[in-house]
Amino acid sequence: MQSNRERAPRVTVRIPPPLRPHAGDQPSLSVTGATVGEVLACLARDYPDLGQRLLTPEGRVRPYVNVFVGEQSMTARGGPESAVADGDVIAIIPAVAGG
Amino acid sequence: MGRMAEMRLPSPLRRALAQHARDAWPEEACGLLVGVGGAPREVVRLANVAGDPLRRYALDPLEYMRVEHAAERRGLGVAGVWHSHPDGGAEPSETDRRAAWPGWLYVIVGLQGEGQHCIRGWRLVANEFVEEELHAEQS
Ligand SMILES: [Zn+2]
Repeated sequence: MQSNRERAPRVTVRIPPPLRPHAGDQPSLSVTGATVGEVLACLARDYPDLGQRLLTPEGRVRPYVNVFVGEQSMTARGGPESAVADGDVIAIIPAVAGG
Repeated sequence: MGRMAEMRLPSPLRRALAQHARDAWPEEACGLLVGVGGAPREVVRLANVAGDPLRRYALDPLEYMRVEHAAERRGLGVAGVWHSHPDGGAEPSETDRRAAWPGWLYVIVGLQGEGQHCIRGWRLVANEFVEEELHAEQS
């Protein structure tokens, strides 16, 4: 058992190519947080340019990015409040669309 | 104005793009370009999940994710996006521009009837599409 203060899970966040320039050119980052929302907020603190592209000023995920935990969308899991576990892979997926 | 940027798009990829565009007609075909260092080596066709596939295209996020991960496990990466204009030119529309991500090559296949087609490449620079000259062979 760990100390009485619970350690936040550590997850891997995959960054898509168009956003990598805002994430130190790294394809993935290691981040801690208990929920998807916490993970994204932590990412936004460490990489403000990336954060600005992922989240609205109110902290909501922007409509042109999708967030998946494993192969399940954040929305399907219950939104940003959904819990993550140690070792989860969270993928930021750019909306790819046009006319 | 400087010279137009250039990119190699090998003939087999061009043929695949034209075939996918014809197969999907009258709907828009779409997918990803997988390659190395931004240069396309493979054309991946994906489902068009747009609500109005005659006039729009959209990729399924899960399909996108699977292609990106599989490519990177092989030491490749997503180099760009392609889609077709079922009855028109290969110039990006305003909808294309607004939805585009910087950095990627956007290849458009315009079907023009009588078996004719046109393939052109574009990249978003400062929120505007700039054409990239596509060569079939190594120059
Ligand atoms: Zn288009």
